[in-house]
Order: sequence, then structure tokens, then C-alpha cells
Amino acid sequence: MSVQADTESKEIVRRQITEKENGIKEIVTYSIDLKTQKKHKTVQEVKPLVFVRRTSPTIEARHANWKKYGKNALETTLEKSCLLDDVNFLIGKEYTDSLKLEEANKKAVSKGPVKKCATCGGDHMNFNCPYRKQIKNQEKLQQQQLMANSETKHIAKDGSEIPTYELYSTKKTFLTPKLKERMDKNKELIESGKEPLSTLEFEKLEEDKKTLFISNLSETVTEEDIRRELFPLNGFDRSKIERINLSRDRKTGKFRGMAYVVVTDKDVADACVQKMNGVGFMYTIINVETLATKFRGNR
Amino acid sequence: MRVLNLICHQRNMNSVKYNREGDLLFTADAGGKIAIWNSNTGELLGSLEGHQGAVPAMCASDDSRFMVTGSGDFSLKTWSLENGECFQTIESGLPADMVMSNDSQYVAISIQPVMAYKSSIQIFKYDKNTGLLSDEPIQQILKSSEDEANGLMGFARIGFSFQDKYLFATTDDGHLLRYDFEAVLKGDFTKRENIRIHKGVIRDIQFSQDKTYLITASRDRFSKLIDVETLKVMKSYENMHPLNTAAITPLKNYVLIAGGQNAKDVTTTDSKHGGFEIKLLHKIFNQELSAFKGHFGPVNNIAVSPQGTSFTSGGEDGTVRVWFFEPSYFNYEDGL
Repeated sequence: MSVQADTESKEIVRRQITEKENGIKEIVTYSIDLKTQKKHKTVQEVKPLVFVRRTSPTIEARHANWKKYGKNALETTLEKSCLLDDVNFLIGKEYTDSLKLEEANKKAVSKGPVKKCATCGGDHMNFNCPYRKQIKNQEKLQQQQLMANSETKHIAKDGSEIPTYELYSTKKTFLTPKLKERMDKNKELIESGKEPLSTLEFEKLEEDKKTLFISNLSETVTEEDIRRELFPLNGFDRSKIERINLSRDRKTGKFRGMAYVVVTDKDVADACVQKMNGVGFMYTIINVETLATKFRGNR
Repeated sequence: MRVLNLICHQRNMNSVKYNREGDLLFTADAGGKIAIWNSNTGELLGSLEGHQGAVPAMCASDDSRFMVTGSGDFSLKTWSLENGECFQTIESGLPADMVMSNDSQYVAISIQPVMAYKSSIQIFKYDKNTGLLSDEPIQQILKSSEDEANGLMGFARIGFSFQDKYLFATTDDGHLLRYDFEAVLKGDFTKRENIRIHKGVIRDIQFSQDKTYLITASRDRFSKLIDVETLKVMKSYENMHPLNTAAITPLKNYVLIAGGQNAKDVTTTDSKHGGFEIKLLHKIFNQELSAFKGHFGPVNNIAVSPQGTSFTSGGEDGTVRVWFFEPSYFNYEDGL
């Protein structure tokens, strides 16, 4: 259709046909687009195909004068037959060779996903590797040697190792953000000449000292009440609260009268305990303490 | 290799035939369409309209002026090929196959056992000048009481041997029957040979150009080459898949066989796996020489042009292809 549309809107001015080698014809047409008044020059190379058919003229003449009949033959001007792409015709040995080639290609494809061992790089699965134990033992030995050689090793008072970047450079473990934070803190401490913190100490230092544990709250208290009334009434700005977590019953979702409030600083937390412990709030007298003191008391 | 795709049919192909000289090609499908083509250029010359049912059988006269067709609407029609006019309609059973004798005097039609009709072979007198069939069959071969007792199934394909000496018929359970045609015309059906050569349905029989031997194609995956006089199996060709049709090529000692899985199983298999390619075998050495790939469904019919320069295949998917042989086909040396 597009070809027809082009020819309708174009006016052909001139057409040149020159013959080239091997029976190829070059057709150059100059035309003007009627809508846009643009001039076009199109070059086409055409090679006519000639099929020789050997039929007797008398037989052909028999149905040369027949008129077309029937709905299917008359209904459309479209050609009812089309020339398909050339089929590669192989006979005899060429054909059997091509079959063999096809089969060989099939086998190459049907091998499936390539197996490769992660430890030794062989042609088998990881857990089937015969060298797996040997290689793992070797790696362990190497690590131990490295550990023994390293001078910058720190051990806490309770005997546990203290993480540093140098220690973890040889290990193949994932560094969590919390661990990274701790290692940063340790680095600072070591550089300033102080002793690094053990795991328990670090956790207490960081979180527990600035979290308040508020208990004996009324059942009707909500998060907003703590933010808007409890802290401002006792002289603390609400912006000093980082987050609030109300403890609730797992099954019913009912408030249990306890809340954990994280504030910005350790100093603020201490001030809160001093001011708010034993204060009446919503018909009850509340208890306020930091988590650090609470755990210490338990032990 | 040049391949022509003929576009006219939508339903599965039932019959593909050349005329005697090979310049015209006739195709018929299960939707009742009959088309006439120029076999060299693929030009649609005409289509015959009038049948309301599937057209399982047809044959053209030797001078390519007339045509006889049989249809699933229980009628036989005769046509003029020049202008596509139907000038005779006869009530009949549902035909399975139809053959014109070599001297253009008789038309033999095998009737399928459908509705009130019994399985039979009807022989009509044919007038080659006017193209008219006799109003009623002059002879009708029915199954004998012995056949009924033995459980012989219905007639399917039929064919005439050289000089119209024998009339061949196949049955749906793999039997090949040979009647003496002269005796048949006199009403004597006892002069016949009966051999069972296949375990499955014989879908096709085609003769060599001199009609001294024939080839069969069966659903039991075998195709067999049989001598007309002695009824000996000379060669048997095995295929991977059930066969629908087979043909003997003139000029060269080749054989074409084609078929494929049942149409109902086609959707569950890959087109490569279904065996839809047409295979070219050496007639004597029984060696696979080449294969023609292109059909997407089982191949129902093959007809080789009388000159032996091309062949036509009709598929279950309604496609008709004309394949023109290349010089390498003719120049291939088989050592004979």
C-alpha cells in the first residue's frame, strides 16, 4: 500500500534505464512530490530472473484462450501464488553430511548449563569437590598464621576479640553497618590512646544510656500524648525525642503501660530521669529510668 | 530450489493431481473447493463451484477437457474445464477415490460405508466425446459373504494397471485386492487375488509411469513397492512416522514418501519432531537421499509431474507447494 501511496503523490519527470554487467539494469527516476514540491531522485538496481520452461506450444495453446471462471479466481486481483525463498537442495552425500553437522550442533547445545566448582574450578558441583576439605584446611591454616603474625591484636577484659579493620581484612565475612560503626569508634579510641571497648560495653554505651524506660503508664496513653504533653510539661522540647516504642500485647494489641523513649543525648536522658521519675501523668505516677541502669540493677 | 506456494485453500487437502501432459494441476480440499492451476507459473486458472461438501476424489479426462468429481454431499458432478460449467449431477455415495481407465471408457469409484450406503466399487461408463457419465453404474463390486465372515473392512484406494488388465483396490485393514477387469465388466467378481501387505490403513497407492508396478503408503510407517503381475513385494521402505502418501518419480530411480503424525497430536509436538518433511529415497538402494522441509503439518498428498521435473504436495494445513527440481537432482550419480 505504501508503494501505491507514493506513486499517487509523485509525478515522474524522467526515467533513465542503463544496462550493466551480468544483466543488471540500473533504473534512475526523477520525480516531484506534489504536496511538498520537492524533487526526488531514486536509483534502483534490478536483475531479472529468467526461468526456462520446456512445454509443447500445442499443449499450451489448448488453454491459452480459456477465460477465468469461479469465485476464487475472479474475486481478487491479488496473485494467488507466491514464490517462496530458495530452498537449499542437497542430495546424497552432501545431505548426509548436513544431517551429521546438525546432530553435532544439537549435542553441543543440549549439554545444558556448564558446571564449575567454586573451590577448585573443576567440572563438577561444589559439594562434590574432592579437594574441598584440603583447600578449606589450607585456608584456615593461612588465617591462623596471619592472626599470629599480626601485632595489632586487641583482647578485651572478658577475653573476647575486639574488631578492627586490620583483623577483618583477612576474613571473608560481611561487615554489617553496626560492626562498621563499632570499628570506627575503636579506631578513634586507639588513635587517642585509650583502650577499645568490648562488645557489651559498646552496646551499652551507644544505645542503652540514651533510652528511657517509662513504666506504670495509664492504658489510655498514646504516642502523641508522650510527645505533646509529658515532655513539654516537664520542660523538655519535643524535638529531643528520637523515637518512641510502646510495648503492646502480642495477641490483643493492647497497651501494656510501658514505653521505650530514645532521646538525642545521654545528658538529656539523665536530666529526664531526674525530673520525670515519680511524676503524676494521666492519673498515674510514672517510673522513669535509663535502660543502662535498669540492666545493671538486674545483674 | 524454486518453490511455489499456491494460496486458495483454507481446509485440509484431499487430492492433488496432474493432467496427462502435466501442464495443469488440480487440487481439492475438505471445504469443497476445487482449483485449476497452471503448473509452471502457479496462475489460478479457475475454480469449480457447486459442491456443498468435502471433495475427497476427482479425476480429469486425458484430453483435459472434462472433469469428474465426487463429494460429501452424496453427488457426482461432471464439469467442463474450459468454462467451469457443471453439466451433470448424479446421486451417489460418499466416494473415497476415483480413477479413470487408461482407455477413457470407464470411471471407477470406491464408495465409503456411510449412512445407508454399503462399501462398494462402482464402475460407470464414460463418454470421452461429451464427458457424460452413465446415469447408473454398469457394475457394482460388493464385499462377498466370505469377506463379511472374515471381517474385511471397506474399500479405500483404487487404481488401474497397464492396459486396464487389473483393477486394484485397498482396504482399511491393509489388504490389497486385485480384480481381473475384463471379468468384472462381465459381472464375475470371483477372479481376484487377496494379500495382506500392511498392518495399518493404506492411505495411498500410486503407479509407475508404465503401470507395471505400484507403491503403497500406510499408517504402519511402511511403504512398499509391489509388482503388478506377481504381487511380490519388491522393496519396502521404512519411515520414522506414519505415512500418508508415496510416489514414484519418472526419469530417475527415486521414490518420494511423506506423512507425519496425526493431526490431533500435532499441537503436542514440535514441528521438527512430527516428521512433516517429504523424503526422497533411492528406489533400488533404499537409501535416504534428501528431504524437503517446509510443511507445518502432515502431508496428505504428493503428485509428481509426468515430465518428472517437479512435484506438488498438499498438506493438512491447507498449503499447496510446487517444488521444481534442480540440476543436481538430475546429475546425481548413484553408480548404476
